[in-house]
Amino acid sequence: MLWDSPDLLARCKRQAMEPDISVTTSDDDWYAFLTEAEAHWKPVIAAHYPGPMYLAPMPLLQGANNKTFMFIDPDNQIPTPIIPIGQVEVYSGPSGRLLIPGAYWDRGADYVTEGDTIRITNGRSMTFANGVPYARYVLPPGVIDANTSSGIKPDTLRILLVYRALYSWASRGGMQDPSFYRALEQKAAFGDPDIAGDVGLIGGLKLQNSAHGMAAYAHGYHGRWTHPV
Amino acid sequence: MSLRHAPRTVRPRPPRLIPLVAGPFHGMRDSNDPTSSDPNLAILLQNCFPVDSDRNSAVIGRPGVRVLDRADNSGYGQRSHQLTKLSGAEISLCVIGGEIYTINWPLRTLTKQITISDLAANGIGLNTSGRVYCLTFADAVTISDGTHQPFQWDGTPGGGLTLLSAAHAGGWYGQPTVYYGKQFGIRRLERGTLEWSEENQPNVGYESGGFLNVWTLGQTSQDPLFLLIGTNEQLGVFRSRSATAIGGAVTEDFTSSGTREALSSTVGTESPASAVFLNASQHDVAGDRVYFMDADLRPHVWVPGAGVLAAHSDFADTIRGLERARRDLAISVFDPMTNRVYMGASEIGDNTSCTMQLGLAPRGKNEASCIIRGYDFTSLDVLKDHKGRPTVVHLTDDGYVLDHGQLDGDLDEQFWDDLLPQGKRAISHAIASPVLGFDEYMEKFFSRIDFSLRSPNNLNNCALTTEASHVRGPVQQFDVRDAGFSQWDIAVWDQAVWGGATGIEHHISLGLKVWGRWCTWRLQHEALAEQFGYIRSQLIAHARAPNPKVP
Repeated sequence: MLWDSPDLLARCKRQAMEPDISVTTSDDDWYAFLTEAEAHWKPVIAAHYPGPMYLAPMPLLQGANNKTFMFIDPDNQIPTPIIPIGQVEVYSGPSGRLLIPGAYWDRGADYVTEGDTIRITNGRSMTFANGVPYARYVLPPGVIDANTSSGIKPDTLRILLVYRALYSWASRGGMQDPSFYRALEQKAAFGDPDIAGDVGLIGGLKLQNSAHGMAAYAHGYHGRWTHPV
Repeated sequence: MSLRHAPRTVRPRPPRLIPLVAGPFHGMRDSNDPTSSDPNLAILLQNCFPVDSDRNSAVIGRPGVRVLDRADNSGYGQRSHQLTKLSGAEISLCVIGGEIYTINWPLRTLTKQITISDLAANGIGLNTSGRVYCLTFADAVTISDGTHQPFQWDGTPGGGLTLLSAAHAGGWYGQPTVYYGKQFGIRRLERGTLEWSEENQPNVGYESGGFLNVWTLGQTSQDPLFLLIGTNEQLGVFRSRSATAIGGAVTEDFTSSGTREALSSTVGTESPASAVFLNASQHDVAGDRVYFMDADLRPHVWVPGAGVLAAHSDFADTIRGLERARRDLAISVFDPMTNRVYMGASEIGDNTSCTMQLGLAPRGKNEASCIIRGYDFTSLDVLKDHKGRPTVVHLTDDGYVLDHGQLDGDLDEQFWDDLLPQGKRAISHAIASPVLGFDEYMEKFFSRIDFSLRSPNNLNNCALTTEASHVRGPVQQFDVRDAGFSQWDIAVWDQAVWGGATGIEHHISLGLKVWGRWCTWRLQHEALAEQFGYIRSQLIAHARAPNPKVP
């Protein structure tokens, strides 16, 4: 399937042009390179525009005394704490207000972050209508293998993983000049400076969502901007 | 939005690529010694040999062998011989189980011509197993089994037998020979004495009827004689560990007029059937040559007038695997069709027959050319088929006669697998490369190898193994399909023959993953009915930083 992990593997092999009968680079090696590429690019894309990668509002995992709550990976059967990447939006419930992050001493702020956990400020506890707060967040990069595809969305940005994997492949042991693949990666991500108007995949994503965040201004409650409760 | 180029950084330069070429080969040297490695000498050429050993050339697979027929007595294959009569008649005969058969080539059958009772009726004794020696002399074949008095057969079915009653009553040891028109033999019960007939009279002379045609050679050594071999210039006389050449005409005072010349005081032979005489008409090096295996089964060459030359250094490791105790089995043949001398011997193991052959190219350096394996044999000779072509034939210890395929372009007689008594077997072709890229200092990563293979057919069931100084690569199985180039002179544009399956050169590349200071590879091919060929290969090494910790 287009842009799933076997497809990325096939693209890597097609670009590398190693012999068909080969033990030089195993599939496991390629998936390791793709995993490293995911670790590089997913946070970068999430930092620029996380929108397409957000989960639906997810309940956090309740900690002791309603003082802490943890982000979890919903794909895992056993709730596993994770540290989300990109912007995080925490709500008091599926239809609740936005919880406000702040400093731990600030009783006006709702929470501070501690890696995979949010903690209610000033040692307080907090109860919620649905038991726990809900959050929108982007899962951290994981492993790519034959059965697990990249989490990067939109899917077309996954070509960056191919170029990054090829860069790593060419770099290993210092055996080849990886700059060719580095140039492909740079141009795909942020545009080819020799092509007028080419803004690259990430550039395009940002331009498409240039007003990202403006909605908050439009609907913001005046008093809350200056006097958070 | 477009971003400026990132600031220029110091870009590491990738290591240099070192292409390591193996071939084209002109022979083999079975030594793993990296310092004496030569890219034009393979470590092993098994069941394949260079087309032209004078130049570096493509390697081709040997033709197959196939069962011609089986003797009805299922006896021990003692010897085969081509008797060419003065009338021009050709008789391909086989001595099997103490009886004489002839080959009907068109029908591929054996016909028993002389039975044990025929022999007995003429007062002739012949062992039913063990090697016999044959010699064409005076329009008949002399047959000597080393136990009984020799006899002659003129090719007449059921008759034509003559006991050589004038010869030594105890028979002759080893191979009789012809020198100055006289038939020479070593007396079995007086192993230091040779005797000879009168000219062209096989049963006249020796030490009977008033003749005194005997000579006991004891001046410098009184060890037993093992081999006599006549050349155009000299008569070679071989003991176990020394050899002498006798020159001059064989006259009544031969014993005093014959000039003796020491060939070697250390090299002789104990394998009388291992000697092959070639003269200038049979190969392209002027002068006579005698190939033989010494008492340790090491190939040597006697060049009359130039002495005995060693021709075994490139087979040193292989010879260590031969069973010296069975050196009496050793037997050699010169195959004019492949222009090679094949020296058969038994490898260490529970063998009662020869199991392999050392192939030597009788040119320039008498070069080690190949190793032949795949079938057992008790006898190995060149006969002529019904088309008059020299054809290698071998016998087995249970009565089978097998003929070897041709390389002369006659498609009817080419077969590329072995049809043995046990059934059809693929020929196991193997090429082991020389040690490539040997270096004490620089580590290398070997990432890829490209083969140029030569065959008119696809090559299935190939396997490559690689071994570097401290890493062994996995076995890589592969098939080679569809030649990339068209066969010369038959390419027709717009028809399937252009670049299609009729091509003869195949290219295949394989990715590798081995590290080391040097690397060798071994290519094997084993598939029924497939002709094998190899042209050259190129191994890609990436020089890496030296690491003093690695082995």
